[in-house]
Amino acid sequence: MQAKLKQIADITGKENLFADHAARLAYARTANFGYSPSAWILPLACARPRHMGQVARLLEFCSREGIPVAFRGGGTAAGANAQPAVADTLLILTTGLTRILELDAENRIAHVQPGVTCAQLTAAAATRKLFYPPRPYSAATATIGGNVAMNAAGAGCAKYGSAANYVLGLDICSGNGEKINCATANVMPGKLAPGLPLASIFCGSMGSLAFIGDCALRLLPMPESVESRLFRFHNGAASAASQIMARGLLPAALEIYDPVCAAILLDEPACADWLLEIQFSGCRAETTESMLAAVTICKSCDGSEARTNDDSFRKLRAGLMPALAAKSRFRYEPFSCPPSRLPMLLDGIQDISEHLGQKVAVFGHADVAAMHAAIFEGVADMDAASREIFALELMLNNAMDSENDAAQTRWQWQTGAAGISAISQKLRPIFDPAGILANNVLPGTAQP
Amino acid sequence: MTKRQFMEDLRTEIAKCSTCGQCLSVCPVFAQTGIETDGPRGRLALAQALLDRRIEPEAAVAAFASCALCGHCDGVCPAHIPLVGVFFAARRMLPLRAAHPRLFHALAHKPGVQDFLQPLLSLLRDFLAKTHIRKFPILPLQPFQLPHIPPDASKRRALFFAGCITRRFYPQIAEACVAALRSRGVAVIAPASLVCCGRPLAMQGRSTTQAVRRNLEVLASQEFQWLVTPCPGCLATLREIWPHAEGLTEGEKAQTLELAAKCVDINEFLAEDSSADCSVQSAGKVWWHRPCLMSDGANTAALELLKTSGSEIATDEGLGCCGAPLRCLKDKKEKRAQSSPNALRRLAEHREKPLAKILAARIVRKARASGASRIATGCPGCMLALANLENGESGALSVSHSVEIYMESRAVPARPK
Repeated sequence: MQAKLKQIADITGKENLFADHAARLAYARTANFGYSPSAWILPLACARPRHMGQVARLLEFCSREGIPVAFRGGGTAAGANAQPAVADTLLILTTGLTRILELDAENRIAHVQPGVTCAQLTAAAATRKLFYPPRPYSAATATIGGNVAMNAAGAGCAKYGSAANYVLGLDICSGNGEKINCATANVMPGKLAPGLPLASIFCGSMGSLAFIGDCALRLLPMPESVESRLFRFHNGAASAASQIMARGLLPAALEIYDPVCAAILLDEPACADWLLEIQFSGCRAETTESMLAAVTICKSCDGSEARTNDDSFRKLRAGLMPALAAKSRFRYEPFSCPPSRLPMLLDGIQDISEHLGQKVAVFGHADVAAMHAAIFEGVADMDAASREIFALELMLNNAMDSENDAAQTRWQWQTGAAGISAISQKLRPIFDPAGILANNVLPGTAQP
Repeated sequence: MTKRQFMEDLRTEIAKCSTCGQCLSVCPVFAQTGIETDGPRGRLALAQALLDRRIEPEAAVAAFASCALCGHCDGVCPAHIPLVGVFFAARRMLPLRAAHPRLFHALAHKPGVQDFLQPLLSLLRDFLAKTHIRKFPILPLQPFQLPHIPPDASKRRALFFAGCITRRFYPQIAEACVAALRSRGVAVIAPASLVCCGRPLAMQGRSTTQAVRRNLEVLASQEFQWLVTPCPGCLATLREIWPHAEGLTEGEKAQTLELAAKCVDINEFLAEDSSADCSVQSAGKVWWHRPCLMSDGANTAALELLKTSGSEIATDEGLGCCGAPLRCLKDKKEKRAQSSPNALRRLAEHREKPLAKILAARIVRKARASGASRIATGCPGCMLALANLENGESGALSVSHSVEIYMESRAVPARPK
């Protein structure tokens, strides 16, 4: 193993290979909430390549030697994709690739290396009156590479979509060290490069097909006005949210929080109300009118306005999951349904929580009804809660979950899984002939 | 608190971390190196591993030694983990190597011996500075001593806690502070028997109990309304470290808490009593470096003082730490350097941790680019870090304490309008 490490060090340079025990411990996990320390698997080492040439040489070397590889950016993923799944995994860090290569304001395209954080890109784009719409709440630390690899979204998914909607081109490096440029970097939005639109396969591939290198991303002009309101409800937040969507409004954010989350966000420990955060963006007349309509709906559902959004609320919101985790460890379970049935879904969750005697915190994006549940560790069987939530989803005729951080945990229950699984299994050897890439994460392809 | 309970509490705090990584976005050291072990999240994982005995203390030293204990991470942690407290506790478990000779620690509680040695060291320093072996900060011949004026019994009384750096390296700051306090009609006392606040000891993983006890003894015998200090480091130590020092009796603990309520930063004290009556004469452009340990209130107050002194202020709070706290621990590199043939020169090159130098150089560069003629800050520790660099890299920039600048402007009689 020492000889292999030495060869890796020859590729990246000694100063960019972290193989000491301290580094291995520090890089052993990403932001996951339900794992206990004993479950961590230490990586073999962490390599920090400085350019794509080094990435290619690393992957080529690893596939020759059969060293499993996982990719890691900011380490904020709630799934297990950016941490070692098997012993002796080499972690390839994107944190050595942190330059914004070009910000083409005229054509609204940003060329960035994968280790740039979402916040850095947002700040750079803001200087040119542009923005990158996907806004995960971990933006301060999360990287663009991870953002694309997870096809992440955040608030305002109904209006802006997720990362895949903004990828114009990707430089990828496949499992055997082959560099592929997917779509030409100067491709304009709406015009496809010749051939298959390959880049979209890698958006959401969770690092199981290739290393995502330089990204060409589409930016949007900053809206003229952004208006936010915060409403609190005794009951009926969900029905207000689904009415807003049914009314044909298109909010830039429609976030719903149950009382457990509201207590943290409002800093009122005894809070028993639901919260609904509404944001509209666009030209001033449009936001004012939309907001007026939304406010009317909220008031008809017995909503009352809470204090307006400010920096402290945003800060608390960004730290909501960690703040919940500080109360008690929990299992993170994403779930969803068609937005019109959101009230039924949330009522159902309450029933499950009461019926199992399990404390659950629920929050999420009401515009697309993509919700997050934190199932707190308790006496009851943790799997029972997960199973019941899933049964509820099936009953509400759910399509595939797009917020798929932890979706693999229940992939086996998903209808239609078999077909996609078969295709994925055929696809993987093309990009990763030696099978060294994070092989536990892509649903349906886990090796026994 | 027993040791066992202390460990349990530590474990509970660390367990709150869900590794979300918010802390990394504000860590000045992580911003430079980008390595997980150089950020709070990684250090927390290592602290946990230390408690679980899954790592040898020796192997974790580098990660903790690279921490400036600046506390920016404390402010953003969504789980409200007292990160700095955990890092101080972790240092107690580690075999850290102090940057100073052992003698220093023996002397930490003996200010009298230090006073005696200072003239000798000062002469030695001047000699060494000429040989260019190493650039030492300027060490005056005499430490600060309060000119004896019997305190007026009718006046309100402030105890001036100069702190070691001010006392040894910057007596002029102490003099400016005392003059400012007296001009506000406050009687000043500054017992010469006060010892080190204990922060450097805590940073080097040593017990602070002896330092705290000695100081408490001295302070108990004095009567005063406020404890005023020009050093945010000392202030933070009095407020946050003293009450948690190991092995204090209940009575002593109560005394530390009582003291904590009396502590105030000199900037805040002077700005609060805003009978500011200063000549507004342009003092030129000043770059303000905010010390990491300075509270928001003290920061606003210091800026206020600078404004009344007629300075034009430029600043960038996003820059953060100047790296001063990194200088109290030895670098591993130095060990290697000492055993190499050309040891003396290597020693000179490696004495300063490169990281500390990078952090300070960043600030000096920005300051110079802004066109400021001097750097102002509210912490003698930062001054030492920035001025030490100044010899070679900051050219004409001088480094001063905010109170110095304030008092300079007051020395000039007001011009009639």
